[in-house]
Amino acid sequence: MSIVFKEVEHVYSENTPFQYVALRGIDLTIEKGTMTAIIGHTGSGKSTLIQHINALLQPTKGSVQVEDYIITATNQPKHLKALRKLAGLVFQFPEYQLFEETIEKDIMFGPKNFKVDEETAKRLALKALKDVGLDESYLDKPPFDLSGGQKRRVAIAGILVMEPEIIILDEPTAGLDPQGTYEIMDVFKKLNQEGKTVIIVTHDMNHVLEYCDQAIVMNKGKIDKQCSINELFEKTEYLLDLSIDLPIITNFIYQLNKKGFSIDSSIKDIDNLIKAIKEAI
Amino acid sequence: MKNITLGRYLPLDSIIHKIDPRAKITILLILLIAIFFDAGFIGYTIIGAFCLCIVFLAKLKITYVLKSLKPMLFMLTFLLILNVLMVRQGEILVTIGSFRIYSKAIFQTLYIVIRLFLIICLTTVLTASTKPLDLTLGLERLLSPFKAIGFPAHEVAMMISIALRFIPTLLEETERIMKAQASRGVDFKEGTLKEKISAIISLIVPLFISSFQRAEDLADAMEARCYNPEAERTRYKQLHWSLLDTVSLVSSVVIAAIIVTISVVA
Repeated sequence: MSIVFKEVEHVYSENTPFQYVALRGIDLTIEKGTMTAIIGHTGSGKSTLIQHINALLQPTKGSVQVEDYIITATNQPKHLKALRKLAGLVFQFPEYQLFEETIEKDIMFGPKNFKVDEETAKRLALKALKDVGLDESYLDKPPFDLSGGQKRRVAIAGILVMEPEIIILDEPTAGLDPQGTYEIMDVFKKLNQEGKTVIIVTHDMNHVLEYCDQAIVMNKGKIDKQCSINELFEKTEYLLDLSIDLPIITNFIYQLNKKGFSIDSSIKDIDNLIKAIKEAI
Repeated sequence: MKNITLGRYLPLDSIIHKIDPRAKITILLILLIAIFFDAGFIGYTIIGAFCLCIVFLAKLKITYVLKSLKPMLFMLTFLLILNVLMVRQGEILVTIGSFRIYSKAIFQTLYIVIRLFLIICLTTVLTASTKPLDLTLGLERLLSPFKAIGFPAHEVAMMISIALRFIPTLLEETERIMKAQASRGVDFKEGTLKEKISAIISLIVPLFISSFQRAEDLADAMEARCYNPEAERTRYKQLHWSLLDTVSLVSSVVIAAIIVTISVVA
């Protein structure tokens, strides 16, 4: 048991003319070591939901439990920093959070806030930088000279350097080129295989199919469905109803099956798909 | 951050919302001048009541206005202390050791508080009841007579409207960066002075960078659409002066005149 939401409700700007209910009646459990995708339309409450996990937002009703930390409307754990270290959150377009003179200093910013000594921080920074696919030649460069995709990697390294047990990512691949996208996703998959809990907000169903174990579908501030990936993409009609695109492979199988084939819709990669088609013919 | 109310437009349906922006800006100016006249207790009662009437007519909740006063709390305490120490007029109210608190000091501080409160009340009503675009248009019209002496009325109005337009955006941006840095272990509320400075730097540097980026993008977008401040422009939206505007302008002039008379006579 890792993350538990109990009847969580979140209202923005309560009691003002801008009052807006972003989440209502959220009951949710995310097990340790899973790789979970959170999908749904813009404005369905995905970003609000994930900000509850490291207590950037407090629920206006209900409770959120992350390991031993319990956050309710009135009760905030005293050691927020420890929770923030446990659950690292990478925001959408995280490159705007860079501010130091060199990449090394910027990545070391997190550990230093957690009172890690200089030597260890340096070592962790180098490791995080390599994790996101950049080499040590970048350490002394100013972060503002980098390309957009490289800045994104440095910013993600700035979170990974704290060695969080739970890694939460808000559309980490938005605006990256296809090559960079897969490289970044591979980084997260590797961390997941090392035992970390990974939660990804994404609009790209190909990533969901390829990388994640389970999915949470959000709609209008509520959880519409929480299920395994296989289960999710079997419900083709349901997804099309919510106007969520199918992954390319699933869509291909769906179209073939509409034409009279009967291919297993849980196939995830091209090799197996080709095999299945060969058998069918 | 989301709770900052200063400068936000509230889409309500009130009589104040319907007043012409030119009239509203002029009224604000007149009333601000009146507020700064020291007309004693009676004067502040009159103008205070008038301002509260305006807030009420604009259908704003008084708590909403009070909220925008919150950031001033520090300044007010500072002023209070300064006044108590510096002003040595009127009767002695309290004597603590060699400290003496004079009645005038208390009154002056009170007046400053009332003035600040009324100013914030009125400006909040103006921005909450007028769309930024209307505000700019009104300002431009009011300033246009000065074009004759080479005053760039349109440019100034454009700059003000851009500044107003970006207040909410910058607040949002600030909140975003604060959250992102909080995720990296920054504590904006507590910590030693050194930690606080480092926290502020981690907020300000990205904020500056993104503001400059935004400014550049906006300039490019304006240029791409061939924006030329000197060009003759027509408006889709025309301003119409109505009876309501005349009535409201006249009534505020009357109030201001009363205040000025009281302060001169006293």
